[in-house]
Amino acid sequence: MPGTMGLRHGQLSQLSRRCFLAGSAVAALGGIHADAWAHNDAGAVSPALPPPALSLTLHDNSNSTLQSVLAGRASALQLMFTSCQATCPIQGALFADAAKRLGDRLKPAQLLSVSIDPAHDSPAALREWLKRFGPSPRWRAARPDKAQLDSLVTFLKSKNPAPDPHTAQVYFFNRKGELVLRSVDFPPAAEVVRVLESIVTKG
Amino acid sequence: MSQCRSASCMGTERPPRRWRVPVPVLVVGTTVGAVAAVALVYAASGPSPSRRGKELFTGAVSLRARMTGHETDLPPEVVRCINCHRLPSDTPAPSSSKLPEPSSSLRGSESAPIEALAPDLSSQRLTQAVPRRGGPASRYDAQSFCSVLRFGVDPAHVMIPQTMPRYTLTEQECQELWAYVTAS
Repeated sequence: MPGTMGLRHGQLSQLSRRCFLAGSAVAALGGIHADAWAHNDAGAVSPALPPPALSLTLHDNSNSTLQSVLAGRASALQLMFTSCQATCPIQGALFADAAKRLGDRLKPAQLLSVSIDPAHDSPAALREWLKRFGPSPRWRAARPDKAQLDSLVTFLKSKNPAPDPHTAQVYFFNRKGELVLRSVDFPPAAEVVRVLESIVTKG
Repeated sequence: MSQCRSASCMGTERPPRRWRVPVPVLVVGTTVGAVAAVALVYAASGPSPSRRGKELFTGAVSLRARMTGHETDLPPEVVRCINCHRLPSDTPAPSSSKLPEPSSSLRGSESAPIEALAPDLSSQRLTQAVPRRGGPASRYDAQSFCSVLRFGVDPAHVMIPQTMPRYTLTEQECQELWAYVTAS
């Protein structure tokens, strides 16, 4: 059946082209920097991925799930822990800057810092951490259920070889709560806001 | 014919002339002089480069820095050298990885020691010719030390990780930091 095979090859080729173009469009809409492609785990996520089931305790002591926190908003998520002295303070400063840039605009957008040290990062510790950089209603912090942390780290591909146990990437979620983009380490605050804006605009 | 020029020759006795300074003027003058002398001595010596370098290293004196490619500086407290680097005299080691009960996803082996995030700094480590970051053997001097702080390029012309901010430093600040880290 050479004719059929030929047709299938043509269809596959067309599909590949479409996938490639769709991926490029998502990346372009995401405003991702070209350097991101050089990073193994940075870039557009296509198709968008729903996060694993995860219980969260937020810095205001409320209990929720990751899906609930993400649903209905464009979200930028980073991993951190409050006793971290080196990279996390820089991550905190960048999110504080992003929150400041968001100000009152892009209301459906939010910033979320998730601790990778749930055993020690109590809601009070998370509140104190946010306060250190300048709290904002657009920026929340949470600790996941300890037993479920691994599934989140694996999902985000945030495992980092020693010495730093986590990357300084930012993970973007659409308003359905699906992962659409992994940034490079330490994306500029302006870039974080630009990507959130793009997600909000796309709906 | 000799001429007598002394007062006694002329028959009038004058008391010897004396400087008379009012006491308040004397006190004020002495005080001002002492203060000026102390100020001069202090200005001449000043804080040593090493001492000033310690202040820069620990953040007692703020440094300006930003991440590569960023448009704005970071808050001074998050770019202190001491956040990531340690000196031989420092304890405990600063580390980004103080996870008492590490998640298995975050660590390959739970028994693996947690390393400091950035290289320890010491005179020996900096000035010995050793391969760094896969490059040829190289050693730092004051100039290359400034270069790595400002531009992230090490003495072998290898880029350091972007995790380290890039610093806006004066020549004097560079020299002072170099003096401090190589004094240990």
